[in-house]
Order: sequence, then structure tokens, then C-alpha cells
Amino acid sequence: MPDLFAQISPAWALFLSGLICAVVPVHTVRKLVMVLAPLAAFLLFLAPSTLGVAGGVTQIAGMDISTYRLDRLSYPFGLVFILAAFLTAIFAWHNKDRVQDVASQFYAGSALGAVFAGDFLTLFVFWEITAIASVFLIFRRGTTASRNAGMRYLVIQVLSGVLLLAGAVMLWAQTGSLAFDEVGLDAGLAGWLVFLAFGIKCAFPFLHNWLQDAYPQSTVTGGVILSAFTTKMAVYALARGFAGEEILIWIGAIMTLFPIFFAVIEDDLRRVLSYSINNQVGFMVVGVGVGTSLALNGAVAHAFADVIFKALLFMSIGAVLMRTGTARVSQLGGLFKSMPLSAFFCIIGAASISALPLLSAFVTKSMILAAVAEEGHWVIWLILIFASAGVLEHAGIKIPYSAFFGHDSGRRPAEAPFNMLLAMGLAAALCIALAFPWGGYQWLYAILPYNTAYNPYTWDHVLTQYQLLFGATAAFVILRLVNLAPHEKLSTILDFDWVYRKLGYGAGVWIGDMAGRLMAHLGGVARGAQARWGRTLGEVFTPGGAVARALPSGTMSIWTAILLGVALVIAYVAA
Amino acid sequence: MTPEIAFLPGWLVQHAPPLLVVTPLIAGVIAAVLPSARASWGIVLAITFFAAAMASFIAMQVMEVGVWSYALGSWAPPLGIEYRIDGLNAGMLLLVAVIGFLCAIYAPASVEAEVAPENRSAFYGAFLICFAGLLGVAITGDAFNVFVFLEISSISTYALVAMGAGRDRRALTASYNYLIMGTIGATFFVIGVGFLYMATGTLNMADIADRLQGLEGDRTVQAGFAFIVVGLGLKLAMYPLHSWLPNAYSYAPTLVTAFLAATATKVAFYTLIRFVFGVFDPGFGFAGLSMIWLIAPLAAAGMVVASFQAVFQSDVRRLFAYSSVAQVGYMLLGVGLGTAAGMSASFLHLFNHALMKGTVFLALGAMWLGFGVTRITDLRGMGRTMPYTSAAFVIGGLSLVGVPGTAGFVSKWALLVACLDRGWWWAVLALGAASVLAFFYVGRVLEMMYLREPPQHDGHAVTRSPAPLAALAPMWILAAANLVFGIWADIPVRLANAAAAAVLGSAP
Amino acid sequence: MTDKTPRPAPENGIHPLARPFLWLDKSFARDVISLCIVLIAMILLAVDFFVHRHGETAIAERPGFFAIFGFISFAFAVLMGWPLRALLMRGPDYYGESEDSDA
Repeated sequence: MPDLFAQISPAWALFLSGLICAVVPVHTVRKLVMVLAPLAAFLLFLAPSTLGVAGGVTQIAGMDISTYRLDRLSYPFGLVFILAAFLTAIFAWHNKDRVQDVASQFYAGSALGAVFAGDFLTLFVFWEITAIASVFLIFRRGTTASRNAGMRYLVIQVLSGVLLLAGAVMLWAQTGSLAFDEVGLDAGLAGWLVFLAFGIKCAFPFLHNWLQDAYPQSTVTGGVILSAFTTKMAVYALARGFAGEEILIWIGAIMTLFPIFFAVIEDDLRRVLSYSINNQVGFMVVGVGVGTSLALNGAVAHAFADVIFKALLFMSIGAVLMRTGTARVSQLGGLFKSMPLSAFFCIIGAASISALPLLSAFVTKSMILAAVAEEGHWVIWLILIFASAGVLEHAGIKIPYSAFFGHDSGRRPAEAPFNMLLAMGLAAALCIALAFPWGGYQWLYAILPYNTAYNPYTWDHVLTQYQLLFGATAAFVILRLVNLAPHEKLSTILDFDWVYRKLGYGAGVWIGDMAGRLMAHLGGVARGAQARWGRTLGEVFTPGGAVARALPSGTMSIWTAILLGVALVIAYVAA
Repeated sequence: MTPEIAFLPGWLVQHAPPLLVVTPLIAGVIAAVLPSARASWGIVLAITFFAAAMASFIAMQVMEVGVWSYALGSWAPPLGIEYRIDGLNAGMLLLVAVIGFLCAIYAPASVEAEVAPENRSAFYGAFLICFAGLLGVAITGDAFNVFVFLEISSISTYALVAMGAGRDRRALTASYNYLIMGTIGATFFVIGVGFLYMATGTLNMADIADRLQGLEGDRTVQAGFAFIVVGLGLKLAMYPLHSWLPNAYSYAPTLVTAFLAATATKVAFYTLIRFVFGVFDPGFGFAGLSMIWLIAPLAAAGMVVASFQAVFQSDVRRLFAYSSVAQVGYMLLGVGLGTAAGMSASFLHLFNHALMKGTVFLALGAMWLGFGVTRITDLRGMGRTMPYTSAAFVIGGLSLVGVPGTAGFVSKWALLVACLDRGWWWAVLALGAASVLAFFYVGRVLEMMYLREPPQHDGHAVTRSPAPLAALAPMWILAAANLVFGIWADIPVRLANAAAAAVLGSAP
Repeated sequence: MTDKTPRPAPENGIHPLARPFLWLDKSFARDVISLCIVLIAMILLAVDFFVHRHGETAIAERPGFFAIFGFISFAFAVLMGWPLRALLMRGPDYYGESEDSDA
């Protein structure tokens, strides 16, 4: 492969496909481009023979810009993003909406570009493109709720970019370098701004509501695409800039914890999955916070696995949503009778996220747990074990059980179309392959940032994992039997976003109302004063002696006079 | 000096500077009396093209060789009128000439829709005279000559704005207001020049600069400075002397708005810099203090307040007129910094702002031609009904916000860095606030264009109606320039640095 | 594969591949499965008292820790649903934003 290709970021392949999609009206051609673009990106990705590429290096206005940095940290993220772009393109084959096609290609491309960014400016650009491109995947649902949620999403996401830029500029002022490397919170305000920017996209507690707000309002295919990129891109950014930052351990632990309780009572399955993103990203954040080579390996590996099984779960629920028009527990159940393949793939995804041995999360999450224990954070370790049981509750059991089994809703929708099944099948196969004890997980471990000799398949690890999962499932069975589990109801569950959606909105309306009255009053006073002054000074300064009847030019000339006075005073004072 | 580039006939080369100004002036008179508007337009097109070619030649020449001084009528400079082109105004000439040419391409589409038939030839004549005046202001090295050309361009501008009356009668009051304010500005300016003449006994700018040395404490000089700054501040719509601008921009014919937004305030701005830095010495205590206590705070206030006003407008062109006032604030802020970096950033923004506002106003003009768009709500679904025009508009709008990859980002970034260098955090804050506001007012328009359904007419959605090529071509040239200069910023950065060097280098 | 409208599914909508699994819907089958799960859990718990395994933390080495902790965690998470529901659950149209298409 010529060296030339080794310098080109694979992100451009996706951007190019997005541009093509924008102009090609023929559905099939567009879809073919969308499926082929990740393959082209993959070829570009393979082109460098060694890691450590710094490609696309240019200078803009005296700043070093590097659009392609391929090292051991960006490699696995780049690979899995390309993979996700491929799977989602297949999944979205039936979708005829050109806007979504363009948006998803740009979104995937910018996420890839952000992962390969070698400097803050490039990172910022792609960071913002992910926000702007992805919002169309929400808008195109076409409901009032999606439009409003999309706007809220956009504001928060753009804010993240603005914070990032502000932090980057301050860092630049401090260090004179724009390179995106270790930042650390010791960098003062600049470090905190960047941290906050990453934290928003990572959905830190209290910054997380955009996720549960917007993702469930996205289109069927949009939900799948959204689930893959933004948060994992943020995890990458954290791992690059803030690895080993102690506070992340606690933030991550809280992230694994609180979504569990919300997910239990949530009725909308895509919202449950959104909470589950939060929970899984929490594990990764803990790994980044611990910062040892084992922990970072675990975080990266878990992100890799999570992109795939989370996409798989979103796909299966997306198929349900497309066929039935709802993703609400209270209106679903018994769908396995007419959608058995979707049900099967959903179970694979659910078992993967629950870390059932032989499925992907088992080989990835355990590294994080081991690293946490190794560093002696036993409280955190307990929280993570608790969270693992919680994952089983909302993602492992609730998702497949309530949609495909459980109480029969009487709905008999047709099985998902072939392209969706194909995408789900590929994702499910990957979930199995990544944890395959003979060559599967070894391959995954080999592409991680650090060399590792960790072996997840020790007999006691497998045993304890089964004990945990079955102990928890037994609780599910028993609670159902004695009818102690709360049933989901068609409802809205309040979360922190209540503060700005209800409280803030109400306060805004009230303040606006009050301000309106105040301004009306003040305006009267000001107009009076202005008119008085206008009459007096206007006679002097308006040319032709025109009385200050034409108020605009009258007041303007007053301003001119005032400014002249100020300028003269300054000149005299200076002399 | 002897020009080095010799592909043009000798006499043309030798007398390029006066020809650049005189040809459009004479042609303007001819165009105004021709019976056929089409023929007038032919003259406009030919002359603006000629001027653009000459301006590029002159710019290249100046970049290669250095300052080009031309003595009118062979009277040696301090006495006779001198045309003097250096790194500062070479770029200005190029900008005015090229924008003038692009607007000329678009002209017939706009004129035939907006100007009464009997006024059309006169309109073209006024356009050319205004064009000549702007070039003259930029090229001359004589202080009184600046005033003359400033008035030539202004008076023809009043006429041009007033011709919007064919579309909206309010153009008349807008023009009247503009006339009054413009005249005050010009009067102040000429009073200031008079003071300088009193103090130094010369009108040649370079000569004034020499003789002003040691006159820092002279009250006459100080008064002259104050009058010139305020007078030009009015002409360039410095906040709070801007209120003539929104009405003039919203009610003038669309072509005039695009042309003025991209050139007129820019030329006034150039003149301000020429005087403050080229004639006066920024080392003078009063000049430096005025920068810090007058220009910079007003610039920051203008950036924020005018952006706020823009957010609340309901008329699109008015919205972008207020945005222009805010953008003038950006440029003034760079000047107020008083550093080379600030000056360069401010010139960069001047060029880029001409590009983005040119794009935006040409696009809005095309939308008016297509659908009679004046209010923001009229833009509903425009992304579908006028896709190419809307796309160009998007580029211009994003550039205005300062999205990376567009020209607007480059200059805002440069300005930001310049503020940081100076340690002016309040200015950084104002920059940030104004950018966020720009995001809102541009976003509001884009939301209307792309997320709303096109309006219904007789129960059917309005169909597509692309703009004529004559409108699309110049618009897209400018839009493309926004993108190109956003990525390969070298050329404008070099021009801006040359301008900054020319200004600050001339100060001893 | 471009059909947006569901094809009429054959025979009451039962997919042929689902036919062999229809027994899952019977309540007797469900009871059996439930019983099996509880049984397996208890067996796994019992095993713990006969083997000596390594744990990552001290508490993890206690026999039965994982099975019991898993059970308690799960039950806690689910039971917390009751108070949370009382606290946080509102009507589906609480924010007044329709989720139905209005385009």
C-alpha cells in the first residue's frame, strides 16, 4: 500500500460518502455507498504498516494541526467505530430518508475524526460536527417531542464544544501547544473546562440528561447509530486526557449506580437502554480513573464490546419499534412468536451486556473489576458488583423479557426485514467471537493499549460470575412469583432534567413575564428622558436647524456630540 | 517608480492608479444618461471588470515592489495630489473592485425587479460613481481628497438607497436619515482635516504625519483627532453611531445592500485606520488613550448590544444589518488593541466579513427576487424551495458564526489570540458572548429554512424556484471564497499582515 | 427488504421459526423454568462451600458471597422501584410534548 494512503485519516472516507449521499437521489446507490464507505475506511485504516502515524499534519495560521494520529489508544476505538458504521449502514438499508443517510455518515465520520485528532482544534471541529450531524437523527423522527428534545440535545452538545474550545485556548495560552495529550486537572481552570466538555458528552451524573432525553426520541435507525459513537468518543477523550484522575473513579461508580434505579421503573425500552449506556460508560470511566495499564485496557476493551452489544440491543428494540410503533413495556410482550430471530439476537445482546461467560462483556468488564480490586478500592469494587447485578436486571432480563416474552400483548408484527436481521446477526456473532476462549478474546486483548497476560477464563472467575448471575436471576424469579416487582406503567419518570425542563422553564416564563412588565415601565421613563434631551440638544446639533422631530437622526446626533466630547476630554487629559 | 509587470500596454501601466478611479467616474456619467438600461449595465459590467483587473494588477505590483506613489498631473507630492498605494490599501482596492464586479453581474436581476424603469440608467450611473468614490477614498494619499471622494461615494449612496422606494417607500426616510447622519460625519471629518491643516499647513497625509511629530501637545491637533475619529466612526457605523445603517440596509435595493455591506463601511474603516495610525502617531498619548478608553469599549459594547438587537429582529435584512454593526465592533476591537496582531486580525476580519456579508446579502437578495422574502418567517422551507441559494446562505451564516473551516473562524480566532496576548479578558468575554449570540441569530434563520415546511399556496406547498444564474454565480463565488479562505488562510493572512506592517511600520 | 408496511404474517402471525418454542408461553413451562433457575442458583451457592477459590478482594473469598450478593442486589434494585415510582412517576404527558407524529 502506498505511503500516501497511510497518511489519510479513514474519517475522510465517511465524510466523502456523506457528501455523495447528499447529492445522489437513487436509494440503492446511496445505500451501497454507505455500506462501502466503512470498508474503504477500513482499508485506509490498514494502510499504515506501523502504529504511531501522525498524518495530515499541516500548519494553519501558525498552529500545528494533525488530523490523523494512530497509536495504540486510538487504534481500537477507530476500528470499532468503523465496524459500527458498517453495521449501522446495513441496519439502515431500508431507510429511505436521505437526510438521515447524510447525517449518519457525517456523524460516524466526525466521531472517527475526533478519535484520530492529534490536536485540540481538530478535536473541537469534529466534536462539534458530531453534535450537529447527529441531531438530525433525532429531528427526523418528526414529532414535537423529538423536535424539542433535539433542540435541548443540540444546545447541550454545542455547549460541550464551546467549553472544549475555551479550555483548549486557555491551555494553548498556558503551554503554547495545541497538541491533544495528557491534560490533567492540575492544569487549573483550563483542565476543568476540558474535563467538563468531555464529561457532558460522557454523560456524567447531572450532565447526563441529554442522553435519556434525546436518544429515545430518535428515529429507529438513528437510535442505533447514536448509541455507538458520542459517549464512546468521550471515553476515548477522557482516556487520552485524564487517565488516572482519581475523581473519575467516583464519578464512574455513581454512573454505574444511579441509572439502575431509573431503569427499573422506566416504561420506554429505548430509555432503559439509554440509562444502560450511562451505566456501562460508568464502568469505563472507573477504568480510566484507576488508570493502571490493566484498568485502561479494561476500559478500552469494554468500550469496544459495548459499541457492539449496545448497538445490537438498540437494533432489536428498533426493529420492535418499527414493526409495532412503540417501545413501551406496558404495550409490548410475547413478540417472540412472530419475531423469533429478533428475539434471539436480543437475548444474545442482553446476555453479552450482562457479562455471561462466553459473551463479550465477560472478558472486558472483568479487567476493570480486577484492576479496581488490585488498587484496593474495595468500596468501588462492591459498587461495581452491585451494578453488574443491576445490569442484569434492566438490560439482561427486562429488555428481552418484557418485549419478546412476558405478558402476551397479542401483537403479531412481522419479523424484522432481512437487512436488520443481517446487521443483528453480524453484531451477535461479534459478541460471541470477541469472547471466544480460543483465539477470540486473545485477538481483542492484542489490540488494546497495553500488552496484557490477563486471562478471564479461570475456573473460579467463571464460577463466581455464574453464581452472581444466577443468584440475581433467582431474585427476579422469586419477586415475580410473589408479585413484588413493580409493573411498568405508561408514564414519565422524572430525572434531573426536571430541573431545567420544568423548574427552569417555569422560572424562565416567570422572569420573562416580570422583565416584560419592568421593561414596559422603564421604557416609558427612558423615552421621556430621551425625548427631553433630544429636544434640547437636537436643536443645536441637527444640521439645517431641524428640530428634533425626526428622532432617529436627532438622537444619533446627540450620540455624535457625546462621543466627540469624550474624545476631546480624553485627548486633553492625555496631553 | 517603474512597474515591473509588463503584460499591459505601457501607458496603462504607468497611469493605472488614476485610471482606476477616473474611468468609473466618467463612465458613471455616461451610463446615467444612456437611454437603454441594458447598455448602461454593459458599461457597468465592463468598467467594474476593468477596475477589478487593474486593482489586481496594482495589488500584485505593490506586493512585489512596495509602495507605489503617483503624482497627479506631475505635481510633486507635498503640493500636488498624490495617489499612494501600499500594503494597507492595495487589499482594499482589490476588495472593492472585485465585490463591485460580482455585484455588477447580479445587477440586472435586482434592478429589473426593484427599480422603476425610468430610474434604471440613473441607478447604474450612481452605482458606478459610488464605486469610483470608494476606490478614490482608498487610493488617495491626500487628506482633503479623501473627503471629496467620501462625499462622492456617500451622495451617490443616498441616491442608491432611495431607489429602493420602488419596492418599499420607507427607503426614502431611510435614505434621508442616512443623508443627515452621513453629512454630519463628513462635516466632522472635514473639520478635523481643517484643524490638521491649521496645525501643519499641508494636506498630504504622509507630509502631515511628518510634520505632526512633536505636536503631541497641540490642542488643534487633538481637536482634529477627536473630530476625525467621531466623523469616521459615524461613516463606519461604530456603535452607538450606527442607527442609520439598519434602515438603509433593509430598505435599499438588494443589490445595493450587498454592495454597501461588503464595501462602504469597510472603506470608512480603512480611512479611520489610515488616519489614526498613518497620519497620527499611535505613540501619541491621546491617540493611544482613545484606543483604549473610547474605541475598544465601544467596540465591545457594539459587539454585544448589536448582536442582541439582531437576535430580536423580525426583518431578515435588518437582522443582518445589526449583525454588521456587531462585526464592525470586532474590527474596531482589533484596532483598539493597538498591537500588530490586533491590527492584522482586524484587517483579516474586514476581508472575511466582506466575503460573508456579501454572500448573505446576495442570497437574501435572490430570495427576495424569488419569493419576496423580507421577514424571517418568510424563509420557511427555503432550504427546499431554493436549495442552492440556501446552501450558499448557510456557508455565509456559518462563517458569520465563526464555525471552523470557514473564513469567519480564522479571523475570529486571530482576534481572540490577539486579545489573549494583550491579556484583555473582558474582550475575550465579549467576543465569546457575541459569537454565542451570532449562533442564535443565524441559527434562528437556518432553523426556519431547513426545519420548517415550505408555506402553502392555494393548498399546495410552494414549488422549487431556483435563483437565476446571474444571482447564483457571484453568490457562490463568495461562498466558495468563505470556505477556501477558511482552510487555506495564507493569502488573506498575508494581505492582512502586510496591511498591519504598512500601518505600524510607517509609524516611527 | 424495503417494506415499511408489515407483510401479513402467516397463520395468526406466528413465525415458523417460533413454532417449536410456543410452549414457552404456557404457565406450567414458566413455572418449571423458574424452579430450574432457583435450583441452579442454589446448587451454585452450595458448590461454593466445597471448593476453595481465589477472590479479588477479601470479602469475595467468603463462601457464597457472589450468589448472595447478587440476589440481594437484584432484589434491592427492584424493590427500590416502589418508593421511586411513588416519588418520580408522572403522567405520560407530563412535559406536554406529544410523541405522536404531527408532521
